[in-house]
Amino acid sequence: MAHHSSQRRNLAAPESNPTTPNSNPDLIQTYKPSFLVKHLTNLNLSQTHKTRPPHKHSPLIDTHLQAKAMATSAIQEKESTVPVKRTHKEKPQRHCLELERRKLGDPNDKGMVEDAKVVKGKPRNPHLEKHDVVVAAAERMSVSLAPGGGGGRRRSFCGTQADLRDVFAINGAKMVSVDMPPFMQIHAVDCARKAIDSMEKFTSKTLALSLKKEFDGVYGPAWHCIVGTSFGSFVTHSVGGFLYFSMDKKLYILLFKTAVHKAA
Amino acid sequence: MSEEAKKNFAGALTARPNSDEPKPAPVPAVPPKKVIIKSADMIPDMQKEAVDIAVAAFEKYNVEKDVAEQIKKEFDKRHGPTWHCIVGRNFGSYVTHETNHFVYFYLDQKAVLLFKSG
Repeated sequence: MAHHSSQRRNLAAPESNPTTPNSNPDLIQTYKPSFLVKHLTNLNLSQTHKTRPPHKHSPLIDTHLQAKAMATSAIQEKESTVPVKRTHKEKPQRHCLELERRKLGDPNDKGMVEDAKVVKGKPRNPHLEKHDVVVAAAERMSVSLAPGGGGGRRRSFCGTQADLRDVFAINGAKMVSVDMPPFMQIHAVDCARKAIDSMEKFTSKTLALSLKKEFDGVYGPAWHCIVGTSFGSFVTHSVGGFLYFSMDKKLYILLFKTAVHKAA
Repeated sequence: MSEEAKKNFAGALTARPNSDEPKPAPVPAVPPKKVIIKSADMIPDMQKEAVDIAVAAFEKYNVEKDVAEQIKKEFDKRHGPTWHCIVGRNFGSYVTHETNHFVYFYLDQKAVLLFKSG
């Protein structure tokens, strides 16, 4: 408890001086087995964070995702619907796979009549990078970050979290369930907003197409996208390749990745 | 094409209530659901299997995600992983699927998308 409190104060301070007693990573690992998992998660986040430019197809990302996908596939052989997840926030795995949106549309809506509407364009803040913004996000993130990590890295994470909230708020988006690095989430929301704004007449299919193609192109195949106001789903996805969010309060978007096997 | 499929499946469903097979418990007669295969890249036997599983799932569950779960798990079991299922009244989609492993059909007002990938 005291240690936890100390950790929080340290992270909240403008100058991140590592004054924690367990500054030695080796010692920390030996004392706390659970730290190993967090450490690995931290490294993963660090890796993905370093390759921030979303429009560059980095082999590192591809290898990273493919490796995770293979691991997931192996596990799927035993438990086909419970992929292993590693995120910095604890969430029920089942919740990640089961998504439900009930009737939100017009009660007279029949079959697959898609909503035709023009979404109002919103002014977007061009400066997505705000490393100076820490505030409340820092306090929350401090719980999930390893004390042994570098100060600079921790600050970056806090900044990323703040950027994420900013982007979502500006675009009227809200995360429902996620297993995806922050920069990819930002990319998805930006892409969705641009696609919606550029449509003269909105169709779920067009938005789904736009998002899937964007992600296939930037992060490699195979991505799948579902867009609508009323649907339920049950899917299996690659580690780090799942996002379910809402926009404009009633449109829901499901974006996830699966491994590609070259068969025959 | 869709008309043929419609008649075919409707006929198949209609024949079921008249079956002489012994039933474990008497169930009130339910009017057969209208089935429309909108799009398919799947062998006919598998298509029918998907529809049958979906009909059973809709009878058993009321929540769309439970129906989707039932269908996906059944196909993972019968035809190997990895399948994905979407069920709903209003949605658009764009997906990549394996050859001969995709079906999209209507059951009354609900649409069912089932495909294999990964």
